[in-house]
Amino acid sequence: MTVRHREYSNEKEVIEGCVKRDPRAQRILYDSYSSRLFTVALRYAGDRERAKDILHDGFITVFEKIGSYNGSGSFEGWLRRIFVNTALMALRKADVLKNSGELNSVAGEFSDNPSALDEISSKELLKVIASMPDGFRMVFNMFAIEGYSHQEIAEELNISESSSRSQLSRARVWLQERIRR
Amino acid sequence: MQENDFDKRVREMMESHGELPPADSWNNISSSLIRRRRGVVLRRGFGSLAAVAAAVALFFVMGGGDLFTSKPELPVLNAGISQKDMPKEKIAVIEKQQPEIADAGSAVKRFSSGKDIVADKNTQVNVTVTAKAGDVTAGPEAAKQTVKQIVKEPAVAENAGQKTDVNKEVKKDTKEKIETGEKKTLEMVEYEESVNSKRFKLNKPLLAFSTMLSPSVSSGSMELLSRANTGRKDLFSSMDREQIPYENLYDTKYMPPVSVGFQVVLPVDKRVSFGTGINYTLLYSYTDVQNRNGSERQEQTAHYIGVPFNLYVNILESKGFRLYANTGVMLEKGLALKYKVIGDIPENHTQSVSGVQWSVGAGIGGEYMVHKNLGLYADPSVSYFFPGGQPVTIRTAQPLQFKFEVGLRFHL
Repeated sequence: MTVRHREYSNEKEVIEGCVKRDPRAQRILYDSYSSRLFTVALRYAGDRERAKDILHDGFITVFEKIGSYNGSGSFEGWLRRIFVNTALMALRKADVLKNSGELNSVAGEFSDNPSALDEISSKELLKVIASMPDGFRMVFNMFAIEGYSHQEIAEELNISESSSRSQLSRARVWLQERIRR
Repeated sequence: MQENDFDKRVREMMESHGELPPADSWNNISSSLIRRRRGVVLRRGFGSLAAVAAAVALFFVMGGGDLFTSKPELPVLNAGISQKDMPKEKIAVIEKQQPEIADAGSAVKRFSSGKDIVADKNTQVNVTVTAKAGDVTAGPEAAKQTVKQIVKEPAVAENAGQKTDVNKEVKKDTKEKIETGEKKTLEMVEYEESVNSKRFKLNKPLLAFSTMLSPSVSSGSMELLSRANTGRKDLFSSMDREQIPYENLYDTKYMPPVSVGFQVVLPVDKRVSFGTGINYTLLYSYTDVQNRNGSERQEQTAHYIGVPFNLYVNILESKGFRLYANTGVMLEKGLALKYKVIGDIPENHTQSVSGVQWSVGAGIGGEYMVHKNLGLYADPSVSYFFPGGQPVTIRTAQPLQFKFEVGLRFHL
């Protein structure tokens, strides 16, 4: 006799399944979010190999810590936060955060030209962001996309707030120039 | 475009973008999770060993150890044969038991303290041997005197409660038969009555071997896509795939749980008995997963081992058949959870099951004595399984389960 049953019809059930360490729920979670979280990993890592490691470590952390998600706030936001922290930790271990040699090599100012981003696909934009100098990439990702404040960025990257502001401005200029090319 | 607008536009483009991760990413993550759980299993191994040791200790505390140490009953061959007709070889065997016979009186005194029913059983065996030995060595009259002496100890019998009353009746009955010239031992009388009426020996332990099916039906089940052979990726047209959301769709089918077990049932009094033992349960299910990229089938096999604690209360008994109610709890531990993925990237892995599964149940059962010591029984019952952090099985999908247990009971 076969019993037919549907399970995990919504995100809450998937999370509960992951709390119970059900591999099927874990697989659903992975299938549902891996693409968007791999994008996060690529934005920070700069290359696919390092991004792959961040994706791996990030999901391991998610499955280990998912019991601490209390349901308040967006689950995807919670996931992104874990992946950003995982990426920063991986980059710190690799001593990438100290590499800011190109910071002063950017000249010019931010342009008000509105057409720059309209002529590029999201995949191409990701490629450009991933190729940013390490310091620019960290600050730009954290401020412009994740919404960190300069104070939070300064604490996280162990730099001053003014340095964070400066790097952000230069990062925007750098990005705009690369997009126009 | 202002800086804030630039940031906002970049954020929107990045949040909506999904970059496909490498194909082997999930396998690596899954393998890491398994390795981490194995470490947990090793740490918990000591805990499981302690649990098994506790179960064994409980078994012996409940008197289960006496199953292995109690003296065997005299051969059935003796029934209905008077001592005068007994072959010389058998007489010799009985004579060798005489040193134990000397303790028959003290055994009766131990019984009088009312410690447990097994002591009563030993006592009866010793009394029987005394009578037989007396019969052989000093003639029928000596045997008669010995039995009489035991029956005449009112202080011993009074303190033993209801259990003693039953034995007292048997002894009186035997005394009458011996006095009326019938040369039969207590054992023979008991045996003949058992054979004639197939009555249940309710004051003796049982051994039960069972198998169980849970033909449960899950409510609210639904078929996501009525499509045959969904395991094939190429059956999806591009239009179908567009209609399947980004997230996976799951359709799980559960097979009925199958259990086999072994149980020792110990009498508490004439109507109530307590049973415990060990049983194994197999839970199988498979899930068809579908998404835009195709589909796969994930098979899950869970192995559980459990210790039941049951109470049985006799409702009625008639001519070799008895009806009883039962209730109890069961503690189960998952031994292993095996997964097999059938699809483009097949994979197999096994992982441990953390935590324990508790359940409570109640039902009504019937037993028919097919032989003097062998009963065939059926116990339909209803059980509720507490989730307890267990992996998804039919028990978590549908905690209230109907069970049908059938088996054999050996009346010791």
